[in-house]
Amino acid sequence: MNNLILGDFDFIPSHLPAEGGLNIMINPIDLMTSWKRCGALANFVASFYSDERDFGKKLDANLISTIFNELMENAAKYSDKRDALITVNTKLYNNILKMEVENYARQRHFDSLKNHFEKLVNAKDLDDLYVQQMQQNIEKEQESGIGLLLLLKDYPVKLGIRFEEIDENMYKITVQVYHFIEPS
Amino acid sequence: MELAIENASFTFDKDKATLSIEGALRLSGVQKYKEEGFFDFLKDAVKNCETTLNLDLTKLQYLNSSGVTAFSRFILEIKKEAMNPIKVTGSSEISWQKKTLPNFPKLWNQIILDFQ
Repeated sequence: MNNLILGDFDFIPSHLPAEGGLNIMINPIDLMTSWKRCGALANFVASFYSDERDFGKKLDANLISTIFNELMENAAKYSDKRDALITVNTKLYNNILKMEVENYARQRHFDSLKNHFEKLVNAKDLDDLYVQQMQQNIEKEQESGIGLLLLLKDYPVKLGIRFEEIDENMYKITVQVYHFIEPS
Repeated sequence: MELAIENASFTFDKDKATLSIEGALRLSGVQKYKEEGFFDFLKDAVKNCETTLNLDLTKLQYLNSSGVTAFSRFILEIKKEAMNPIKVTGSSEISWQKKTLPNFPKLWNQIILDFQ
């Protein structure tokens, strides 16, 4: 496998000009040593985009922070290459905020995320999947990527993911979330 | 009874049968919630209430997915242990609550959900 794409990846192609954008690069170790930085970054991005004077529309800071925090926490948990930065690209289009996070993960994290995401995109009923995963969580004492499930199930978003094989044990993972801005 | 976990404060008022959580809960995993005493505090509150416990989340600004998993697990555990069901009170002003709290009664239909 060289590349694998799942979900609504590139729903808006990268080359389309945006109204505004914000890019961040961060070392995973800085998030692992201070977990609160995931939330701090999420609140910062939410604050950046929620000022209606700049964009002529009202973006919901609480929703943006919650969505973005899940992406940062996933990238922090599943980054294995110490010298590779987590790259965050955000772009605002008319009524869509695109949030893209890239990180590098080893085979075991790739397998886990790929299986989880395949379950998400193939699920007939995401509510059933939520109840099932919560019950499994009690039985097996494990947590398995519930964040992406909650985003896809309950939030006004489209989700896409791309896995690129870098070498036999390293993958570049790009997660894209397209948040549809609800009228306030 | 009170408990502080990072940026959140937990207060249990036995007379009002209310457990209020304020601030933000974004710990790095469910295990971390367990280590910080989350489950023990919530279960003790249910045990110490003669009436239905009101879990007041109206001032909980943020909750991450590990936190959602922790609350979900708490609900499934009290259901399994045949404890009293609870009422969850959320704020219609806080967006994540409107999206996420309706999931809790899906785990146990005895859970009452109310928005202020």
